[in-house]
Amino acid sequence: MNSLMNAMNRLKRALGLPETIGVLGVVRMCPILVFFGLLIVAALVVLALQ
Amino acid sequence: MGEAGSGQIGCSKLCYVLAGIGLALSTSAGLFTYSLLHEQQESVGAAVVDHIASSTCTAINSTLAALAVTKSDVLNGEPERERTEPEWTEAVGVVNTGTWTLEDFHAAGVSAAQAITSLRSLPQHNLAPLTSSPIQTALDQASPALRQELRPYGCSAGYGLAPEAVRIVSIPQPGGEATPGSSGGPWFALLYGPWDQNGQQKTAFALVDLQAIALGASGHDRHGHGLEGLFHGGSGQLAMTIELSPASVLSDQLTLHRAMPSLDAEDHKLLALRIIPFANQLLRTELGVNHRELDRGARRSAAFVFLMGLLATSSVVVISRRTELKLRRLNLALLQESRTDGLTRLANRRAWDETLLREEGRRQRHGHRYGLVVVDLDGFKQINDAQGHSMGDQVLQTAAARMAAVLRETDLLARVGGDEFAVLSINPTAEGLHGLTERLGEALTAAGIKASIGAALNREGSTLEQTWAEADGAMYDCKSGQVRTDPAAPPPSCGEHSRDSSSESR
Repeated sequence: MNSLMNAMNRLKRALGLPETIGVLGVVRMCPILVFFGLLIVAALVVLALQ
Repeated sequence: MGEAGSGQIGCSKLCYVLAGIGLALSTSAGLFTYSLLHEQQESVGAAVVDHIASSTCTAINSTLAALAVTKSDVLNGEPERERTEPEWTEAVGVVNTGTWTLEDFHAAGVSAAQAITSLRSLPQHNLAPLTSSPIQTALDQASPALRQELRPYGCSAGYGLAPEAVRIVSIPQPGGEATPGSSGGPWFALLYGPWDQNGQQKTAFALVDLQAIALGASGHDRHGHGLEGLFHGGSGQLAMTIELSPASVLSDQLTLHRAMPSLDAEDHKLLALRIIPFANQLLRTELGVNHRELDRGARRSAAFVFLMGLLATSSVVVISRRTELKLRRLNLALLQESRTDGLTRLANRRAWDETLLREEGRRQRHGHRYGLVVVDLDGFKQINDAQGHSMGDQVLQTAAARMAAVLRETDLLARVGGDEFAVLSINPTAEGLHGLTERLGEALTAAGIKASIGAALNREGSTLEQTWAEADGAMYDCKSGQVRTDPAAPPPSCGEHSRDSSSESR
């Protein structure tokens, strides 16, 4: 759990976001990056299923 | 720092434009990769199918040639010529159907006992003489144009064998037990005859694993290599669906119809003319590419290209966003710096003028009053000349710190000249402004700094310039020792401390 939180905080820092905002805040601030993240996950799933 | 609030850290228009371009490029690259590989794989798959079908045709012809040679050997009592066994033929020979003995036998991988077992397991009528020859009849009745049409099939039942006497029978593996009702495996028994020789019924036969022939002819599978090796990317990228399931006896139109119900009567008639073209056609029909499997490589490659494009686009967007945020912070710092006095860290003249204009606008709109206080340090030039500029800088910094300490949060203290400071007080009363002047004077006096302080409260109808001039005038009155008596506006502009300070020497 701690490592997950650390990773999340690192991600927020990399995106230039304050560490105090939540997941919904990230979605609100960077919808395009969240969209790309979901696309990447979908492409990985497609690759894994092939 | 309000501009650095949460609303400013979202994605900019540039990010969206870059993301859109990247997404479009990734999608195009993925689709292009898919179409390219799909076309290539399909082309190769079709070529493989064609090759296998053609090889099967060749194999069947060669098997027929072997049958013809074997029959000739038995009839003539000695080898007609040096035999070269087709490597794809598992067993060739002539069986005496009366005694079930082999007159001639050449085999690779199939024993004589297995061959006999397989031949005995065939339906009896396949080894009996044919009472009619529907194929020969059809051949006799075929027109030259029809024969011309048959030529593209490419296989012929030549080699001195009468076409009506050749039969192809699907069997289980030689030596294995025939299962009633089973559709048979990929093995075939090619039979020719029977013919009568010295009172004995003899039939030439060839036992053939056609699947091995087909794959062997394409150079794969027999020695442990799969068709997958034909393609890049290892196994699993191409899966051929090869099904060899001919009907049990391919000698009449009824069987043809059962074997290939999708063909119409004309096709049946054409195919019935020759057994071998039909067998070839049947195999060609049932050889097929598993398009779903064949397409897997193309889909995977396209997904990979798309993924790479997405990763690249995401990286570009993140880098662009971080650069933009950095620039935004730097711009903010520069803006802040351009409005700050470098020595005292107070607001400078630019910030002072902007704030004053804004406040004047607010006053005109809402009627709020404001008060101006002008503070001029006394004897500052002498300090600079006598003790140096560093001491002068220290005095300025001290004065700024002391005055800032006695101000409210809403007041603005600015350095508007060399040794001149100004305070903007929002919506003060005359007493409040007087108190502020007093506090400023006391703070400076406590630090040992002498200053002249003048103050003015904005009056109804007076402009910004007028108020500023009044405060400035009050300050100079104080400096020259005069005291204003007008009670309306210039409130207590010059306190006792200032007079004291002007008279003191440093």
